Amino acid sequence: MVSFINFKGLAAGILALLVAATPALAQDKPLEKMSVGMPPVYNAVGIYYAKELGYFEQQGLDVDVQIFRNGSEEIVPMLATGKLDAASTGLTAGLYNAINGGAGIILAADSGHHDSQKSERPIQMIAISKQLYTGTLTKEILKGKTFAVPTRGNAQEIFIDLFLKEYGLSIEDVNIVTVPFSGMVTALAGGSVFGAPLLEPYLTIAKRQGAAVGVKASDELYPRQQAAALMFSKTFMMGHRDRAVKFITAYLQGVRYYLAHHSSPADLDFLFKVTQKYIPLKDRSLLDEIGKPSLYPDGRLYRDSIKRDIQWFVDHKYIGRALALDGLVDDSLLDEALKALGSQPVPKEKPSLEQRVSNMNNDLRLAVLQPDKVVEHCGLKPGMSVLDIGAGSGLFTFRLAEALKGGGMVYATEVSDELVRSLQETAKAKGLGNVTVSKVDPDGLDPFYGRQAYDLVLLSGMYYHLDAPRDYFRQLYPFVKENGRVIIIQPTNEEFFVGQQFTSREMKLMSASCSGAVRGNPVCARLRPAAREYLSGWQSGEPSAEIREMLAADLNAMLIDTGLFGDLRSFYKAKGLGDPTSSAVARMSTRQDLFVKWLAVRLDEDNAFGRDIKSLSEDDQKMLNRLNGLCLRGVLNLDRTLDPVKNFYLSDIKAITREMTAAGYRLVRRDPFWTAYYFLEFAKDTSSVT
Amino acid sequence: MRSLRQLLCACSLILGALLPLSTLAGTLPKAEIPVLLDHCGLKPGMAFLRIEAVLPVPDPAKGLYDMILLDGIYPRLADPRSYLTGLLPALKQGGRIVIIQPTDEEYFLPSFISDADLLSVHELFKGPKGEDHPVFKRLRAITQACVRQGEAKECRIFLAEDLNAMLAEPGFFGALRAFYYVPREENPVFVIAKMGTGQDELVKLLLGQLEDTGALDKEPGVLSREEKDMVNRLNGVCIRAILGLKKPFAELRERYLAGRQSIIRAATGAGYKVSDGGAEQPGHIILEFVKP
Repeated sequence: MVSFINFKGLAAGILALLVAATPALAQDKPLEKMSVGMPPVYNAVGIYYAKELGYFEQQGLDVDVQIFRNGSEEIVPMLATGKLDAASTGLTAGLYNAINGGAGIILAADSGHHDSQKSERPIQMIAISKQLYTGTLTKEILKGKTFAVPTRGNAQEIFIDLFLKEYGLSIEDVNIVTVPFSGMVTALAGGSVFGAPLLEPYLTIAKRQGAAVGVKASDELYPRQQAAALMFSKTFMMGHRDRAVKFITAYLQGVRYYLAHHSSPADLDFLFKVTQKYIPLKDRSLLDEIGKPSLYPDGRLYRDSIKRDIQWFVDHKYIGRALALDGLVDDSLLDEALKALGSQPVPKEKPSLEQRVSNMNNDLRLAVLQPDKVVEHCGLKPGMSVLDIGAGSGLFTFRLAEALKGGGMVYATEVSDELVRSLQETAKAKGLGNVTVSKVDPDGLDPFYGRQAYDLVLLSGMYYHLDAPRDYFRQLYPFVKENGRVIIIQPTNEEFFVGQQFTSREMKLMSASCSGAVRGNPVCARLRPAAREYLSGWQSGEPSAEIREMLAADLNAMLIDTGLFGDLRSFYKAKGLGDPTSSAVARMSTRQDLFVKWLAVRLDEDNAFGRDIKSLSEDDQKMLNRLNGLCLRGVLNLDRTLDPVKNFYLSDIKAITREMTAAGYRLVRRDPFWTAYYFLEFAKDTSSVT
Repeated sequence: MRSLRQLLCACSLILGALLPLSTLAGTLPKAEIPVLLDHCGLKPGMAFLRIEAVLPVPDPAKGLYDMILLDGIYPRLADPRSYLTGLLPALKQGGRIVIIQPTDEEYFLPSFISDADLLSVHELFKGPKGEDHPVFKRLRAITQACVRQGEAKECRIFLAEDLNAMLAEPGFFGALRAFYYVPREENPVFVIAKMGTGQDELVKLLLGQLEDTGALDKEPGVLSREEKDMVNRLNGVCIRAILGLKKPFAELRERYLAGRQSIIRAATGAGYKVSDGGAEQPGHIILEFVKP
């Protein structure tokens, strides 16, 4: 394998490769001709490289690369009529309409998607005209503004719609105009459009020219969106399937070469040299700044995204009916190419520190954990010494430090170097001089803890990480002041619903669960009329915060409804045959059928159904909560809401109290003001011998 | 005492329909049938009705029967109390009603362990860490030897016996957790996921409740009925998953529900008195009620 260390070496290598490969091919068999069309964008780099590095020729293909300034709008009719054999272009409503109308086109491989996580240099961003940007975006500011898209019914519109949803708006609330990508920079600079989803290299050009400000990246708004695909004309496929396989093989070689060589100056020199033929880019230095295309080394299309986007186009009346993915996507060409090339799956990326911190501080977590309320309950006084064990992203650390009003000290500990650094940087950025961050050893009690005495020790979501809690708290005991307290915040195993959890997909599923044959099901019947009406009339879009909270409140009320399971059982039983509960449970699609049955038997044994919730034992209340939660999630198809519960562990209130008591503490306050967490406050039990 | 076939024929005559032996054998494993019949205390000349489908009791049956057996149909009754009330006139004064009901208790029978299951167990323990596995360590020497060979008919018997002993052991899950846990490598919840039970939520709930009561540190003899019940299910779910035993899971999936107290509540509500003749077989409860 040739290793290229600079452009000259690279060119020589390519030459050698071509010299080695071409004569044999030229002597044996003439090259087979193919035509491929694409817009002038970086996503098609796999094709540019396959052409320039001789991969097509190695496969016996002579590929004519044609560039279409207006992208899919021009390319799709050419492909549909067989004037092009293949294309690499965006997945648009126009494409799907053409296929719905009988155009023989199949999608074969990835040729551009959004990253699966936020990248430092995204390839696309929502850019706002600098002339019109005040530094703030609100619902009021955005409403009625003009946004540019390259064509109507384009994936860019979905991107804009998702962006606007963050402000409680949708694409219907703004004015959409069509401007080619190459004209968007000028439009933004002159203020004739307020915003646009700028793709590289135009994004970097716009930033350099001071024409626009990037405010939201595509990979943040819609990770893994399948934006473009390599596609073939069916007419071509019928006569030349083998050529299509060869084309994909060469294309993947080009993609893999790009993925392995896209960061050094020599790599970028070569990229510039190659792409200049296809993309009107004159300034080499732009390549040092622009976001690079995301491509899969195995070329696999991300079907979920295609399905989701088609549905968006249907919902927004761009296409009349959804297409079946099986007829649209053909993986067989890719499979054949991969047989020859071997698979090279995408390495699993470790989340970046920024992403980890962002996950720890996401809105849902804040809504559920309510850190401000926790700090309020801690009863801090200026001058106190506070220990935050396992501080993570500093969700509590900085709030505690602020509550001390500049006095006292918060000692925040972490086992991760990255998080320690992040905590230190954030404390500095916030100007909090009363935060001391320390890395600690995860084994036992680190010596660091013994250097201070603490008025308050806080452990949030940490207890279950301790190997031997009893020993740990015994060792900590001497360093807790006489009147000091230890607060343990611990997730419960309880089911709960938070309005912010509901995605638009879940809204759709909930809506479907309250209409049609299951319209009168006991869950929907228990919703308030306003919530029920909202669901029955739901078409698309995000619900308001008010509706979200109403739905969550109604579902939370059902969690303690002792009659819900019986009503569900009767309802589903009436629709099925056989064992009334097995079939009913199966029809509820809980996927936890054994669990549901187990809970139902125990509650039935205790005669808990139909009784006043207050008369139930604590254990029965817990079991009812789980039973109803499982059924609600099953009936309404709320899969995602299982995630928080799934990740929770175990140790319950009595187990924690037992360990703490044995370690020399006594429970002084139990304040479950959340549905999902315990707040357990312990004081030193001076009467106990430990 | 009449033979089983004679007895069934007598029943069939009363019912006016032939109830083949296989029908009953399909409800309970054959080996348990004599136990059941012994329990029923049937005598020659008794009028006996066995109901295994939810059908109205025929009118001529009024006051005719010494015993009515409800075999596995209880869960299919839409309104058990009304149904049992409807059966009262069909019984003689002092006549008995026997309800046989599967429990959702975990248990292992040799017949539950298929060749594929035995092979799966063999594969699990043949590796270098096989000897350290908490399940393997709890097997008797004779069972260890035969599962390592991966054959022998007796192996199923030995294995079922040993697994049934593990079902009742409160410390069993702790041993599994220690075996599968990698300290600090990941969230301890994933230890359960590693066991591959497919019933993580159930395992977590059981574990939370058992830890709460401290049951996992107790001796089996001092556990409450609820704790025993939970230990049985917790260990059963884990054993089935870890050993890859498919059949018992399928058995449980098909089963329902109504537990002992629930049936007693319905029967007493319908006017019956609880007889002291109740009994339990692995996987089944047998409850007897008398018409006062």
